[in-house]
This record gives sequence, C-alpha cells and structure tokens, in this order.
Amino acid sequence: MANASATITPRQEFWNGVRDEMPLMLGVFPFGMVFGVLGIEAGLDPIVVMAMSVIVFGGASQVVFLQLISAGASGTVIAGTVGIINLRHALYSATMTNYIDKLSMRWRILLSYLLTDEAFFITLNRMQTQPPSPYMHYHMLGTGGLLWVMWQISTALGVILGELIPDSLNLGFAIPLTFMAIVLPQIKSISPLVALITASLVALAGQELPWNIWVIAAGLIGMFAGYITEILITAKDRSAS
Amino acid sequence: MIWAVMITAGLLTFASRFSMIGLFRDKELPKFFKQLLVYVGPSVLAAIIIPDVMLIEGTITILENPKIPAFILAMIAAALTKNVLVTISTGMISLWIINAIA
Repeated sequence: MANASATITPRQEFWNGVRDEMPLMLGVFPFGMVFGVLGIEAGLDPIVVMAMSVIVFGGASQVVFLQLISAGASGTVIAGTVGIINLRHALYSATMTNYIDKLSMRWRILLSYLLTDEAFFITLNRMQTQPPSPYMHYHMLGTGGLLWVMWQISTALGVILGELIPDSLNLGFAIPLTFMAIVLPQIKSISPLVALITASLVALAGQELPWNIWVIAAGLIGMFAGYITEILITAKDRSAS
Repeated sequence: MIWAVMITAGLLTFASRFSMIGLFRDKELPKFFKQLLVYVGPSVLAAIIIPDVMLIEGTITILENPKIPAFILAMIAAALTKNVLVTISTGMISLWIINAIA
C-alpha cells in the first residue's frame, strides 16, 4: 500500500478530493441558495450578494452578516462579528500545518482561502486515514475547489430565484445536518463526546454574549474539556494497571 | 460603505485561515496544542450545530421544535448508514413531513 500511495499523482489527489466532497453538496447547495435569497431580502444589490460569497466565502458568517445589516448594526460590529465567527478557522489552519510541509507561499495563500469547514474536515480525514503523499495538498484543492464553485453557483441561483424558493422548505436546516454527518464519525470514544457535549452547552449558554463570541468560546472550551477527559482517563488506566 | 465592510470581513476571515498555514512555516506545533486540536471537530462543529437546531428565532425551543425530532432521525440514519446523502435526505424529508402533519 505504501508503494501505491507513492504513485498517487496530483491529478488523482485532486479528483479524490472532488469525489470525497461531492456528497456534502446536497447540504451546501441549498445553504448557498438560502444565503442568496436572504441577501436579496436584506435589500442588497445582487452584485453585492454575489461578491460576498467570493470575498468572505464562509457560509454561516455570511448569513450573520445579513442579519446584522437588517438589524441596522454598524460596519465595525458587522466586520468584527464575521471576524470572530471565523476565528475558528485559525484552529483549522493550525491543524493543517501538521500535514503541509515545504509548500510555496502561493499554495499557502490558495489553501488558506479555501480553508472552509466542509473542505477542511474532508481533507483532514484523508490525511489522517490514508497514507501520506507528497501531493496531499491537491486533495484540498479538490474539496475546496468544488465547494467554492458550488457555493458561487448556489448563491447566484438563490439571488435569481429569490421568492420562488418557499420558506417552508427550511433549506437552512441542511447545514446542521451536513455538519452532523461530518462530526458523528469523529465520536469514537468518551473524550470527543465530552468535548462535543461541553461545546454544545457553552454555545447555548453563550447566546447572549456580544459579537457571536460564543462560537469560538464554545469551540475552545470544548477542546479543553476533551483534552482534560483524555488525561483523566489515561491517569485512571495507569493507576488501575 | 457596504463594500468596505465586506472587504474588511473578508480580510479578517482570511487572516484566521492564513494565520498558521502562512506564518508558522515548517515548524512543529507544541505537543500540548496538537493534543488540543484533536478535539477541534467535535467542539467547533457542535458549537455551530446545536444552536442551529435548538433555537427558533433566537430562543431555545425544545417542545414544539420540529427540527429536534428530524435531527434525531437524521442522526439514527447517519449511525446506521454512515452515508452523507442518506443523512441529509432523512433530516430534510423528516422535517417536511413533521411540518406537514403538525
């Protein structure tokens, strides 16, 4: 198998990424359409709505952007809140450094731009479960690239179709479902479960906090809870043996 | 004005994404930090998922929240099939059916 992995070409890595990412499009595409519809409903110019999907390229934060505009928030609050919601990507960025050595700055900029929830976790799964290859970064070009193209198309479709998409379809529900499909296979023992439950409780308890700071707070506190649980379990096993 | 806000938001988002990939070049992360990052998926995704499912118009709603039973059905489908397409379809269709009945 090690030999087989050494012969994986950049092209194969790329298409593996596209293929691995494909099922998530069932969740991402409706979400992009919802964003497009909401953008028009918020009174924005279609060009602005489209541009946001290119410039920010972060689904959940784009929806919050619109909510804040509708609520009449200041530009500082809007940009700051989007920045804080997307702080979690710094954690993804840190994780990626374990897997990308000696990439050029052009690659680093490109991969950073594509580093979204749905692309990151799918490529991370490839990096953790399959033999490493010198062209692993092409996998992320595949996952992130497909996601980017679909996000732009679905935003445009939402902008165009607008009111034709009934609210009663609840298309926004596709996104927690997509994330759940990503996270469930990661819960294989007690400590990730503790991390998940802790983060959920902090996220719910922190809803009133300003600037949507609960996203990153819940993420960090959940990570510490998982880590501490792991240490406690290891210590208990040691004393038992 | 809207463009300035959007570009600032985009730059801040890119800064998070680029932070470690761009600046922490070819160095090893501290072991403690690596071990924390093992839990980034369960923690960060739960922080996004749970409020999305449990809140209706900003309020935690457990009774009369059709998203909760639909989400649980999707979780069962995910556990049984480990298939993303089946998981998302089950959740969406369950929600539509529950809304139609209720």
